[in-house]
Amino acid sequence: MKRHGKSLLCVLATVIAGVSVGCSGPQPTPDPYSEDFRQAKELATSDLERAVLEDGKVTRSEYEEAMQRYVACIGDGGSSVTLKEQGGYYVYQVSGDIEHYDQISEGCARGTTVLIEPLYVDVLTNPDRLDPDEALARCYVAAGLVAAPFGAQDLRDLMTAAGADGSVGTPIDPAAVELVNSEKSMTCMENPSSGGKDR
Amino acid sequence: MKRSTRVGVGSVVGAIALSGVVGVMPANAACTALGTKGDTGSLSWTRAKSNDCAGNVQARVLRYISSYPTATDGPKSRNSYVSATGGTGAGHALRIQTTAGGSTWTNWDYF
Repeated sequence: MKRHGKSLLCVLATVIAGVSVGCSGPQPTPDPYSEDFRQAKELATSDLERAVLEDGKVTRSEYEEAMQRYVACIGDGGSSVTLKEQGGYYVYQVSGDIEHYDQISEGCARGTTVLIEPLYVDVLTNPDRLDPDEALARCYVAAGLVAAPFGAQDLRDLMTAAGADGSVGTPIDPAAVELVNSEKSMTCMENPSSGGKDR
Repeated sequence: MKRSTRVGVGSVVGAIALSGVVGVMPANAACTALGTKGDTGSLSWTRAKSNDCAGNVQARVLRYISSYPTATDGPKSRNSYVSATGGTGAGHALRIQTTAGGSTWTNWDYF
């Protein structure tokens, strides 16, 4: 009741004086993915996409539904794909006629996963919508792989030192190779919001 | 050595520079993203990162198990990572989404 009373006073003060100084409580944090959802809604081509995107979030069950519809479509197209769990989301495994799978993949994603999957995975693995390198660099710090300060450029330098970016002429640092291929690093790359835990 | 490929799809142009930067942007803009990879004796991984473009990327590891090709693909997202174990002859590839939020992708490009 007291909180309601204060809120009412603040509203009145704002209306009368045109200011809201001193009345602000904790403000809701803007959703960093709100624009992505808005754009996705405009691009929706199926009832599934429209229904899922309506409330500005993708639940696990909605993500599952989209992925399963994609898998079914691939099967209907004469190919097969297996979903495998990785870092809280799925990756795809295809054996055999990969060329045929690639040919039908895009059509099957339309109306099923093409809009829903990126939003689910990105929100899960990078909730603050950071630059992906920055998100991974923070995970490396949280996992104790490197010492702070360590940012996106440091990460790129590390990848170069490990030979992971394919640069020719850069000496390979065995310590960097070992770090980048470590269990914690793998966990961070799978899901930068994991802090390197729970692989 | 970094190699670069420009891809035109309708009014969208995607620029690919594998081993460096690869990516996608809205119409009439070149876009870049980053592809990285790693191999140990038993593990291979590919990471593809879209820069802050409207499109997404997808990473792939291709390995041969009993001479049979097996592709393991990461999620379609701004940051796609995938690893695979077993088999031999790893290949690393990524593709990029060439229309903002749409479903048009470049061909898989191995690097």
